[in-house]
Amino acid sequence: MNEDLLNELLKKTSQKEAEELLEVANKISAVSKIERSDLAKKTFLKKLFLQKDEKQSFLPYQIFISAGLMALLLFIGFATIVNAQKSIPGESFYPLKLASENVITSINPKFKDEVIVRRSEEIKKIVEQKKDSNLLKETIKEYKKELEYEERDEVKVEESRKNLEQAKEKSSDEDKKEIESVLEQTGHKEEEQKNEKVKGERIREENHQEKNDGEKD
Amino acid sequence: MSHEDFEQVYLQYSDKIFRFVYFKTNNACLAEDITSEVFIRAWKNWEKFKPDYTKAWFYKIANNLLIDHWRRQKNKKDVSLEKIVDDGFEPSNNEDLIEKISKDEKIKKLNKALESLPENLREVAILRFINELSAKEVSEILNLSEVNVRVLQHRALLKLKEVFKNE
Repeated sequence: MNEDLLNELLKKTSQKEAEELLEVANKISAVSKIERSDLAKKTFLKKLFLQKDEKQSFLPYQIFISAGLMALLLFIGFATIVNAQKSIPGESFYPLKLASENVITSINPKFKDEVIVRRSEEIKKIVEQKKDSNLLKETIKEYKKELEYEERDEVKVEESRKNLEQAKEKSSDEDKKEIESVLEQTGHKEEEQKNEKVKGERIREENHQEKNDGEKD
Repeated sequence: MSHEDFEQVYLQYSDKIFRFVYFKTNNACLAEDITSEVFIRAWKNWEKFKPDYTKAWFYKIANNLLIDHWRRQKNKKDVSLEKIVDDGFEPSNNEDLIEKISKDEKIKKLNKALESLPENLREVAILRFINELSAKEVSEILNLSEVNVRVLQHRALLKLKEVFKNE
């Protein structure tokens, strides 16, 4: 410091004064040589490094715990959805069942056939568990809605009718009327669809016959 | 993370930072606390700053902490000591040093002399003559030009010369 400071001071003042001022600077420097104890410094460093090492070793542990929790949540979520599939109207997980059906149907529209069967199974369970009639009416309403699906699989519809027949046998008089009504309606619809099919086939046969007659001529 | 290089830096600069803060505040306890806080922060950011750190970096942290301290004092809020304790550090166990400083007549006189200087001269005097930093290093810490630092150091020395003469 001395040489540099002296040169700097000489730019501003005389040699004598520069030297006097340098002496003041050295006096200050000498007095102020305060050194803290080695023990204090080592103690501080020890605590500092220990703190950071603890935080670092905690970090993989944190990641492990987080991953584990996430896996557990996923598993619980999955298990909940699987369990929800067995639920019937009025139960707390039923909305989850409906939501999952919507998701599957959006990916695979043919799943609607399965939904028809599910509604019929729910009707059967409501009757077996002697649940509220209003609940039965609501579920029958939903079943009818599902039957409006144009490309429905008749095999599945037949399966659902069997469930309804079984439900009818176990139900109260009031509920029986409701179930009979829906069976009749679905029966009529089936009849109508069969007739339409037969009519269609007859028309195709007639057209084919006309064509053959025309060619002969 | 490498402790050795930080340890080297700490051993090299911690006394200097202590002196810087002590002579600015005339409070050895506060100086010890702020010195600890400077190096706690430096350690937290060590990996980021290690390649390019300079002495100036430590002094700047110390200066900022001092400004915060004075601001808190003005608003009568908690002193930094509580934050350091919250971070897991106990108050200084440098009681011997603190006692020694408080009894040293020469240090007392120097403090008195420095207190007679305006703030801008005192800062330059502490960094140049107590911490023995170059004019360039002082200019980085205080955000002044080197020319300005030389002017201020000259004025500081003139004033201090008078103070010592009158004692």
